[in-house]
Amino acid sequence: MNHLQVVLFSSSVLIPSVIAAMKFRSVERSFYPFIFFIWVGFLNEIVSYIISFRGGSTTFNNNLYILAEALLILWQFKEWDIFASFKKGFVVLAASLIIVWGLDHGNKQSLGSINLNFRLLYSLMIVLISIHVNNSLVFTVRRSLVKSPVFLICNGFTIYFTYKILAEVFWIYGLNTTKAFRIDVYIIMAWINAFTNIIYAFAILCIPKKPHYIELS
Amino acid sequence: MYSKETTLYRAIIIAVVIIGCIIVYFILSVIRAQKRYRKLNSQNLEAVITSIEKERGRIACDLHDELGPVLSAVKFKLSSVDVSSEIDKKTINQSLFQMDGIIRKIRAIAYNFTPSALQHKGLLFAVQHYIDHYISGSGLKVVLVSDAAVELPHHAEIHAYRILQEIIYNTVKHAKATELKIEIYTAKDHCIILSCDNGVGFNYKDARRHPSGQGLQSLYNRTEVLRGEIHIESKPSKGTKYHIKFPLIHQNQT
Repeated sequence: MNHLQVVLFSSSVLIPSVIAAMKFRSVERSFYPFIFFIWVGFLNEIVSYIISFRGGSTTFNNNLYILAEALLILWQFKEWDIFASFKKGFVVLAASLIIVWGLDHGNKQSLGSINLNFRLLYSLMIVLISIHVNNSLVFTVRRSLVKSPVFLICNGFTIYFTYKILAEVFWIYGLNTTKAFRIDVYIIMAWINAFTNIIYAFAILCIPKKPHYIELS
Repeated sequence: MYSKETTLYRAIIIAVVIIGCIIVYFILSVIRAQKRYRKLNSQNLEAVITSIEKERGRIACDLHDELGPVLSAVKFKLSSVDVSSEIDKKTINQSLFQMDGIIRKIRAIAYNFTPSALQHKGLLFAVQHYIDHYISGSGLKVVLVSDAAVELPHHAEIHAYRILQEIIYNTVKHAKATELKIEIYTAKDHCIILSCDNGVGFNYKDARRHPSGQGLQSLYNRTEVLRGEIHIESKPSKGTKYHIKFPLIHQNQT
């Protein structure tokens, strides 16, 4: 697989982005954070292409993107009432993420370096919450799980971020010595990314329409 | 790549495949467990609701067919008593009046248990009857808008009636509303029930999490038995809106 194919696989985020744009007005409001997450991902891909094309480093925009990604996913979990029993859970986790992100980038220059601690922490957090949501769906969803957008999205998160944890652990231990090795690891990531983007696209198609209500005339 | 990295890369691929298999197995087992749970839950729910309806029917029958005639006979005998004293006559008249009240009350209870109008004249008539006879004194104005072609099988009709009864009852009891609008119509093999009121509303998420009664749960259970979906929108001081939709095909099959 060459660089172009990796780029094409990463561009697969275009599919859920377009579907989300077409369905945006009709879907339930509780799924808006997920749609914003998809669009922010798409925007980051475009910015990354432009920067790469000009020969620059994409680390800066990626560092900002992953903070936005983590907060949007957390907001999505909040919309799904994950923090119902612990109402401050959202604020506590969001504050923790921002603090860790801030500590990873102690100064302005460090925004150009990869923030491994933050990446590991938020990936782990998303995987654990996704598993928790999936388990609770068994008893709460009254229709088939295969067509449940929450179930599909959580599985997408679990698959993608589990691999991300694995990859980040390798980088933390300094196992990214050669470019060839890094590219090979990213190729697997590109496959998984494309697969999860297809899951996200299907999930968006499964998001129920806003229910129609009547008004007193 | 160095030879060490090649080994590492192979290890990563093996790890990815193993983790992938575990995740897929986990997902499949969750789907299977949920399918079983849903089936079991649906069967239990249907059995419980069906037995409740049967029991209601039996009680209604006993009240109407056994207690009603007995009370009528007592009333007849009481009215045939010949007394000369004015005080006794007055007492008997008062008793007869109270007896009429009891008979009316028993009929109303029996009707509430199993509305005969539902069996004989259909859902819309039964709902309108319920509104006219039991809600009229509450100060709530109920507007029922319906599609003349709404015809449901009896199994679905009883659940739809109970759902509407619950919505109306909840509006009278809790909403402090002055107006309630209900729309019932069929579209594309589905029956759709919509309602809105101008009452005080409630915190829907809190009510789902900590229900104070059985009303909301009953709505969910009956909708599930109908294989339908229910959406409720309510906020404090902004009224309550219901959207209930269920397929007609399933109802014909059951």
